[in-house]
Amino acid sequence: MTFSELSAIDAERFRAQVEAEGPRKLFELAEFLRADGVSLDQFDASIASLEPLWAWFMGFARADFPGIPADAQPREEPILLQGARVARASFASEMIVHYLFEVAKRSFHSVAWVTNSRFGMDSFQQTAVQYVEDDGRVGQVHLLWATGTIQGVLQSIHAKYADPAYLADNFLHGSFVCSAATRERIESMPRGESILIPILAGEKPDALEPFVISGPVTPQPQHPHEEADDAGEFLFAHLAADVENLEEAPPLDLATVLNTLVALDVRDLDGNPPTKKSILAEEFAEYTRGDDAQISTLVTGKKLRAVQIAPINPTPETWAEITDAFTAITAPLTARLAPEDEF
Amino acid sequence: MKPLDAFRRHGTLTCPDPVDPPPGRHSLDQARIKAYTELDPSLVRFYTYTAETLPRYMKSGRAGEKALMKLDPNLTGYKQVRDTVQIVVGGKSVTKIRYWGGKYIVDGIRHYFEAKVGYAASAFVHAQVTKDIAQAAAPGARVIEWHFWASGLTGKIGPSLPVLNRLTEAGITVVFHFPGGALS
Repeated sequence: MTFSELSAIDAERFRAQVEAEGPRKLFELAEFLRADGVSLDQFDASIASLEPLWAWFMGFARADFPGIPADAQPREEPILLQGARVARASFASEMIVHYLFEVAKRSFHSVAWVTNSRFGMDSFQQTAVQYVEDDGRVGQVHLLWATGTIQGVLQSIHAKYADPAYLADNFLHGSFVCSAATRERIESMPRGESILIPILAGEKPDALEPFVISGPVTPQPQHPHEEADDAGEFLFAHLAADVENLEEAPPLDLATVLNTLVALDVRDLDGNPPTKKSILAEEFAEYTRGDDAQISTLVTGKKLRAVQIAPINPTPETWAEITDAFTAITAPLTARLAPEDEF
Repeated sequence: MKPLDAFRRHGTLTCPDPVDPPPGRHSLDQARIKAYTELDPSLVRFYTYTAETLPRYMKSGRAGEKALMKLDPNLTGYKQVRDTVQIVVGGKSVTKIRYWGGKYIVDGIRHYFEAKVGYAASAFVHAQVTKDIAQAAAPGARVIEWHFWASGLTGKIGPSLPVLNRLTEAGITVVFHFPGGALS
């Protein structure tokens, strides 16, 4: 199953467990570092401290995580069923994730573990680190994104990952999105006291019980209706468009396409209707129309070049409604609507 | 007999019982076909078919998904299933939705299927590949397969070479289902 299939109650239970296990994960991290003779003084939750942390962790990984039990299970295992192959690596990466959380707390504002259910039409039910940027913008980093990235690194050890600066660079330029000014502030913060020494001086927190799904799962969309058998991915682009070079296709009139999208009541991932600004903001902006279709726009050079209409699970009627709407604007835009290999 | 047993995995592109392609629409790029055959065999599969199971040209993307259902008994429906995937765009982590033509978990291994009918080359296909590359790097054991079927409208089949290279470099398996006659 996936996190999106968790009930809201289970998603919150999972989040609470992730939050609750932080002290133990940090204690274990401190234990491993001390056992390997790494000075704990330097681990002050600063950006700079991520370098010795990553240098140690790469060696720990290359040594196949000595001290991590053979039957170690990451917290998400009952949900994701990842299997033994990645279990120990994933389990070990949880220590790093919790240290990253401490770095985030020191670097940003109002940092907290949250359940990511912010999307209007959908609930991903994932545990995420939420943080507030200096300018007030709220960002989120999925827990799974963090552990997954670390796992990906471990599965494909590569020179760039072996760079001790990798984790700090990834923190500032990859996962925790922030402005250049904020990055500069974070990087120039003075070093502080170790956060691991006092943790290790205390009592080791008890291990939490493994996560158990209590159910019931979030109801999935039902599809009692007839399927549209002729549905396929369609491209809407200028008649002269070269499918292999859509980036330079003659531009489409954005206002006309936008009107069509709004009339079809498509929404973005956050549940918002498309706007001229949202379409132009990304090379690929994605919208869905309920469970009928995903509609993506391609923008280069601030020009709308093409639209892709991909069926999700439409009925013949809804599929016809969508394709008819685009067919209606082919003539005024000198465009066509067809499978891409017909261009 | 499992449906897959009806097919023989084969290293060549011969079809034992060719049928005619769509009249006047047959358009295969031989250079591309040659490149397909030169790929790492561990990443690419070509099926040849018995006369009884010879694949047909597909009239739509949905038809390709239905064909996949017949190939893999673990695929129990051809409805699109959704996942979310995090990709990095311009240094910013962005959440995107990925719809799969099929997906299941067996023995802890996640299997994802994409069915493409006709030639696949556009920027939108590249965007889809970008999502799959991120998915391939996500936690857990995964098998991602892109299956290509010939279009009954154009006679075309397969990815452009840039798309193909990105798929194979990411360790994504590419499977070609050449209809009889397509390579004659």
